[in-house]
Amino acid sequence: MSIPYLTMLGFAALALAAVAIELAARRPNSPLWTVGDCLAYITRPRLGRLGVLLAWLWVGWHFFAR
Amino acid sequence: MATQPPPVEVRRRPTRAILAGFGAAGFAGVAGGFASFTWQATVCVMLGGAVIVLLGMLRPQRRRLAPTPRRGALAWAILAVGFLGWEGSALVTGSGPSHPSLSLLLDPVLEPHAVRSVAFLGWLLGGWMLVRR
Repeated sequence: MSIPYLTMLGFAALALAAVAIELAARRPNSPLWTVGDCLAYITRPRLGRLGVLLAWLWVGWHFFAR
Repeated sequence: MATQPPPVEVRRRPTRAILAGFGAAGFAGVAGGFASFTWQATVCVMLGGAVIVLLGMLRPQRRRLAPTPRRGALAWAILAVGFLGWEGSALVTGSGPSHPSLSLLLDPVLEPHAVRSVAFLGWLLGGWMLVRR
């Protein structure tokens, strides 16, 4: 198997893991946090909010401008 | 005795939201026409990004508390480290054909104008959802 396919499989596995964690977190009485819970924790301080927004901005720059 | 007329339900027309939506869609349509590594694409990203970041910092935040205990976030922390490691290793090795970064993999997918515009609009929408928290 050539390496680009391995790279793609790696990203696909990460995406699937994210979906699995989110679904598991949404189950009743789940000890896991959802993405929303994580964002609520990180964005509670002003600096955290700015950090998340700058990370979002970086994603846009990386995919559309760089 | 005069009876009171029933209260009239006043529907708020979401004019501002509709206008903002059309504006964002139009902006994404224009931004999607610019290829990567052009100053126009950079300007579009910075302009859209600046609006969202400003809104995010000026808008009052809805105080939503995260649940406890914090070990519930451990799975996400591991996933984030995994992603950063995988993407980082691609960038460190020069993001070539042997181990491309995610953006390099998505470049052919994002090449058509329509797809790029939809993706740009999705990016703006993601930013708006972060601001609305």
